[in-house]
Amino acid sequence: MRCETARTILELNLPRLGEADWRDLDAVEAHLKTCPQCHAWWSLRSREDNRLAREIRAVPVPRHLAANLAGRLPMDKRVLGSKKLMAALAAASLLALAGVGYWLRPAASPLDADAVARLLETSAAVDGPTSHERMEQLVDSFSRLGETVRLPESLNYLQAVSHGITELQGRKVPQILFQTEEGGNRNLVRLLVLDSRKFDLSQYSVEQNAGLNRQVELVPDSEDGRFFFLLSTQDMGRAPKY
Amino acid sequence: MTPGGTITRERLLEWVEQHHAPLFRFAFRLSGSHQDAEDLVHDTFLSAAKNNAPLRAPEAVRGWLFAILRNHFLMRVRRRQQAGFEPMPEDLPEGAATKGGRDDGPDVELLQRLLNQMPEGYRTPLILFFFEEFSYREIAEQMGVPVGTVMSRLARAKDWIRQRYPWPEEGGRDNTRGLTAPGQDDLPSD
Repeated sequence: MRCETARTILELNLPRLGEADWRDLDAVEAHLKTCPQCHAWWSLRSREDNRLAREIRAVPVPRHLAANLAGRLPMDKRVLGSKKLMAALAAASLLALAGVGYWLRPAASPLDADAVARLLETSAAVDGPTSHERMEQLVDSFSRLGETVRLPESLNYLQAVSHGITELQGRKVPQILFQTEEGGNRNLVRLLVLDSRKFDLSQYSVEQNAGLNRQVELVPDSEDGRFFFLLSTQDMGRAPKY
Repeated sequence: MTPGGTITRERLLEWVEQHHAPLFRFAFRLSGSHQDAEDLVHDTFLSAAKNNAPLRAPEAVRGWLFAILRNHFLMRVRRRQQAGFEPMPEDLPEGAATKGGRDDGPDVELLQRLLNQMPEGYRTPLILFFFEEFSYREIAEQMGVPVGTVMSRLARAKDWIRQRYPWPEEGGRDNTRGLTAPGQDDLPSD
């Protein structure tokens, strides 16, 4: 790698932001090891950036700001009821009048609208006409959620029904749910995108997670050693062909 | 950005608790005034409550609040301009780079003065980047500009401030600046 290329990648802070290609990062790292000029240049830049960041952040926050803000904000229990929620409540009332209140009996725990909204928020529309376009929409959607991912090209993303960020061992993991149907047999397939920067997979064995009604498969990304795809297929169905 | 849903006071207070400090720091660096910063943070949370509030994924709330705060700041600036106050600069001002280093603490006033001299279109990405470590994409979404514009403005703003802010002498200054893009001292307008 040329000095100018390495410095451009570093200057734009792509490594820190996770927006550089995995292979480029390896090449930059290798270049810094062998080029003392660039190494010295980057050390100085890093020191300057760190110092500037520290000093820009050095703004004392008034001690009682949070309390003052809380006191000045609206006191209503419900600050806002959106039109959509009102419509949903009206619809729910009608349903209740129609006799479906059975399902709302007191024993059931109340559905948390905030939790549902968050779930819907993470499932941005993926409606491209082709599998490839949907794959790109999914990658873009995960990126908006703060997760850089690669996805296997050969899955049929037309079968994807939901996606979002889930949590595994305290780390964020992009997840896609597929619904497949073959011969009248419906299967639910869960795809987890595992980043080898977050998880050490060297000791992991899929057999530990497989069961009578579940197949588990761990597939490395064919183009990039960084990501692994964990496919779990429920009810012994078939996963999207990989 | 899915609209709809409700915001309870409880959730709003949760957001205040989580985000008031970084929002205040951002507001102060944008406005250069403690009073303005406090008002901006207040207006931000008020908007978050009154707005036909989108319920955000927890990851998205922070960026949304920062974007609201920036909009309030820009509205204030426009109101001041309409009232006849000095307009906000669009170009990074030219001027001699600061010479020499320093070995005492940060020069808070100089740093803020330099930030105040920056056009908002350069100041915001610089603060967001260093401050809260937003990604280029998040900054671009907040500012409504392409990612490439954010990258270029950030690089120029960093270079501009590097040349004007005195740095401690740590083994001498960089002597490889010839590799950076030429003409970075002569920045275009927003």
